[in-house]
Amino acid sequence: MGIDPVVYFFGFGLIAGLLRADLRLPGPVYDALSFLLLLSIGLKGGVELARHGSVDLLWQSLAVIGMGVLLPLLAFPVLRGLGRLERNDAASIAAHYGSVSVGTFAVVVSWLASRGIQHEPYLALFVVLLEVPAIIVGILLARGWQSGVDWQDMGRELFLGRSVLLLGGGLVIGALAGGEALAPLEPVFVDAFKGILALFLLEMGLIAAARLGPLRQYGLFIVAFAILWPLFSAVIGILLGHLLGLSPGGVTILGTLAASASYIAVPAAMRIALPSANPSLSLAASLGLTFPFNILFGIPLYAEIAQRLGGS
Amino acid sequence: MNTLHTRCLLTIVCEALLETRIESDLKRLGAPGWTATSVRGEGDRGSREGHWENDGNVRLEVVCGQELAERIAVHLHDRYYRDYAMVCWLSEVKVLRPEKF
Repeated sequence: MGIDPVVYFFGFGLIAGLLRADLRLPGPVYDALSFLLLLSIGLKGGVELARHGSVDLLWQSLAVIGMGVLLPLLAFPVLRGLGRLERNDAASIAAHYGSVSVGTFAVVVSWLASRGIQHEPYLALFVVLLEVPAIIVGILLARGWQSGVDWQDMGRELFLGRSVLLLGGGLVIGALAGGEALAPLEPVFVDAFKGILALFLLEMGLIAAARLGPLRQYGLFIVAFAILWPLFSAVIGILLGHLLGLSPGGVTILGTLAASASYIAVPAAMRIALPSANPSLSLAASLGLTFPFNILFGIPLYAEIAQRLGGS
Repeated sequence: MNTLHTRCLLTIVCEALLETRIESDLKRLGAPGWTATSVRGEGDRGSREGHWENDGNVRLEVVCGQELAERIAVHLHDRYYRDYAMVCWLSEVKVLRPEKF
């Protein structure tokens, strides 16, 4: 089986970036692409959510939120103990790895579609649910309960951040309007999706390349963590998906979400909540290593494990 | 020709993510207005190329009296300098309508 073409675009951006080519997408274009991507994912998830909503889904959602709380709690002691990182850095990285990457989600969905593997179509809901809990856990890990965190201000940051807002807004619009009513919008939000994703990934390749430079100064631990931790958290996601009775495609998605690390919502929130944590350390790991690792090697691996588990 | 009056131009360059926070600080401290521009650059906190939302810088310019400009600069220093990529400087400028600033 060949590589999904969108991944070539990422590879292209990565190589161009590493060669220091003068290639860049203008900021407003990147903004528009990420708007479209988030809304498309949200809308599609919302339409399916209205179709498949059930009590089971509520339990699944709670379990997924539980995973979002658990993952940073597991990562934190590893980062503190093995990595000897400072408290704020460890908490910030734990939050990045407990939360999710929408780009990785888009790639796994596209990967499954290109292979004709079915999955529960409402899983975009899990992306929204997994974004925020890890951020709150990260802040608490760093600062404790009695700290001077301005939660009102933080709440704005968390729930009115671009990705949560657009994904959530898309979900609600999709659920309210339904598939038929949204049909006229399909040329923009459905047909163009892969092209938008390809351009987005090209830009992410360029950005990831720029993030790899600082890695050299952070040593081997963070490199090992950025590759090995996703493997471990993917297993947790895969087992949870299996327990929840998801299809192998759905299990693959939940495994990939668990393995993915945020590089948009969490860095922004951590910059405000834990300003003394080093932002380039966590971004180098999540965007420079984990994101490429997941889309190039992780997804096929998680799918393989999910298939075997499902077939047993 | 109209008489020119001396005022202070306070220029702040910082992480784009701080823009709304600093604007509300400016409002609170009594700045008469400001202009914001998206910019990119490099400094001792690394390169901020403005490729995407977590990577950009913003430049805020405020024209006001010397005393207020200094008060804002001290506030920024105490509140943000330790943890954020930020520089600010003051310079003398000439304006036509002193009552505006």
